[in-house]
Amino acid sequence: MFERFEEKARRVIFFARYEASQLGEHYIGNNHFLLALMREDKALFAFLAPKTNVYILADSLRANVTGEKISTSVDLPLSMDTKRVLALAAEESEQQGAPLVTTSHLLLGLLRHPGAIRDVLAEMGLEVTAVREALKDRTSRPLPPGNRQIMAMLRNEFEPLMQRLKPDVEPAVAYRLRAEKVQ
Amino acid sequence: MTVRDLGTQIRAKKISCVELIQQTLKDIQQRDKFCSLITLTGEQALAEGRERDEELAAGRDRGPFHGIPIALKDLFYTRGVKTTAGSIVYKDFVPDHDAAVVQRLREAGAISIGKTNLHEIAFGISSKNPHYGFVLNPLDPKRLAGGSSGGSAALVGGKFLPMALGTDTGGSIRVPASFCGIAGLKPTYGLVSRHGVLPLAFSLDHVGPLGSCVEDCALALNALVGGPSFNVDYNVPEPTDLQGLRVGRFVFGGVNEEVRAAVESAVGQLRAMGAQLVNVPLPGIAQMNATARVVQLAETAAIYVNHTDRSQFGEDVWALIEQGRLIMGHEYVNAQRLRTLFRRQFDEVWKTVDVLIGPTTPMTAPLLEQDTVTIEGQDENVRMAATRLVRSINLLGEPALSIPCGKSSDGMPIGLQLIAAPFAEETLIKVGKSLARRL
Repeated sequence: MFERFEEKARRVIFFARYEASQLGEHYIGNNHFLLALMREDKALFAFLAPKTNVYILADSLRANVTGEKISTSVDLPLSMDTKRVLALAAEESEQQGAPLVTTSHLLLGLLRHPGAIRDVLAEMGLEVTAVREALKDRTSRPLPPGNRQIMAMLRNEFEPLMQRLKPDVEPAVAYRLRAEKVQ
Repeated sequence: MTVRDLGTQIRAKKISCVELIQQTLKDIQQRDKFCSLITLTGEQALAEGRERDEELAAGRDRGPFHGIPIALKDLFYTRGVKTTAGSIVYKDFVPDHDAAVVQRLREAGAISIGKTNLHEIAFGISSKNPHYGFVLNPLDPKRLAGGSSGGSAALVGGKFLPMALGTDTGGSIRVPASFCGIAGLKPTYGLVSRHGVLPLAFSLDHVGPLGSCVEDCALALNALVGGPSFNVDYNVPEPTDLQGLRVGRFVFGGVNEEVRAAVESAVGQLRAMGAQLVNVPLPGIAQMNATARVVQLAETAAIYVNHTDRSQFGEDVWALIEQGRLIMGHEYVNAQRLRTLFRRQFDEVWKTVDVLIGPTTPMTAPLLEQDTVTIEGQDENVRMAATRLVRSINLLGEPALSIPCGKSSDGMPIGLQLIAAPFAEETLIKVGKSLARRL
């Protein structure tokens, strides 16, 4: 079922199951799904809803649940609502011609499904059409260079400097200590 | 509203300390749409306000900060109040003692109203915090407040408070001061205690104030450095002229035309006040910046060596931590050796000039969604551009002051940076006050 899901999106399913088990609920609902999405892709929420403190929101989502923890080895089923959200997410992915279902598509799925969680998202100022547009702009940006490439560029600048060092030049810490001693 | 203005009102009994705190809290509640704070400590602030009022009634005046509301970057230990560093790694961390500077400010009578938002773990200049929200520029919420002390700058720039405390490892006081149109002082390395401050890079971290004016920074420095044997007053009076002051240009290349013109105008003001402009050869700033980056990346990677769960960090910060893990031992040691060479070169610079002047940032505050800025026709990463003129000063450890220097055509403030020899903070305050009045 999740073969078209990118790694991050798969982790959302995993964390949603974890959230449900921690809250002692016997199915994975859209509240667990949103908690997992906020946990896995904070950058997404920071981008779309910069004024929302996701921790406070997560605590409030967990606050009204008082069930006892269930072992994570118990296989919890997806609720009908959550199955529908996944289907809507897959639809979003297909409509955009994307090769995989991403966390962005999962959020759009939640936004398209009427219910309490869509209301929570609306309170954050998230609405499906606006989010779809904002995400288009986000994904069209070029990817930043990888860490090794960045370090290679830094080394291009730094290695010629190291050639200048004569053997008697000590690290700054030692230089400072000596200067203090002289004073 | 400055520290002096508020202090005058308190002593004239136009407002009590507790009323001032109430007014500040109400103002924040009503107007702060900038995601400036992570934790508001209103009850504690009100209790301290009542104490300060009782003291004044009993004839005890702690000095300029008596009863003045301030805020603390959420990097400073605060006893009984969580200290997050803008990270989820520390989201439940509640220190059992105050940072030395927090204690000093309290002894000086200042009242903290809360802990300010920042770039996650202070590693970045956007303050687009993925966990606690993006700090928005109070002068234009579509723009960056700068960072990492973004929340502190937003509260001062938004005129909620006259002073907030920040830290500066690669420009984190001066960059947000420049973007938010306020003063920001990075004192000499080691002058202000770092005890009880969550570190980012041990040999580059500095603690300092962001203030509504140069005097607020000077008064804050008095409080921060103070102690039983303290007999220096950094709040030197504004001089009538600057005869005999030797001024060198720091870096004027690679900056936006409006920024260059504003800072050139400031140089003209200095000359008009009698200062002498001196040509002085400086070490290459790009080389110092590369060296500083090696030091910072390695030291931060060392601090976060045990953190392997990338989901606990924003993407930008995690990338920097991973880059730091790629620095090799000999590269770090040699960066510290190069630092010695730059230090020696700057010791020579200070024989020729008393102060260096240049822009703080090559551009005004970028839009929130901007990843790059175009300067002199070249696209440049926002973080690299914003830190290009400030980072090297952390490598050296010299004191540096950023002050507002006019506005660009988009209405955003331009920042001007003054740099002086180690422990010559008075020179910065003197020149800063002279310029601030004329710009």
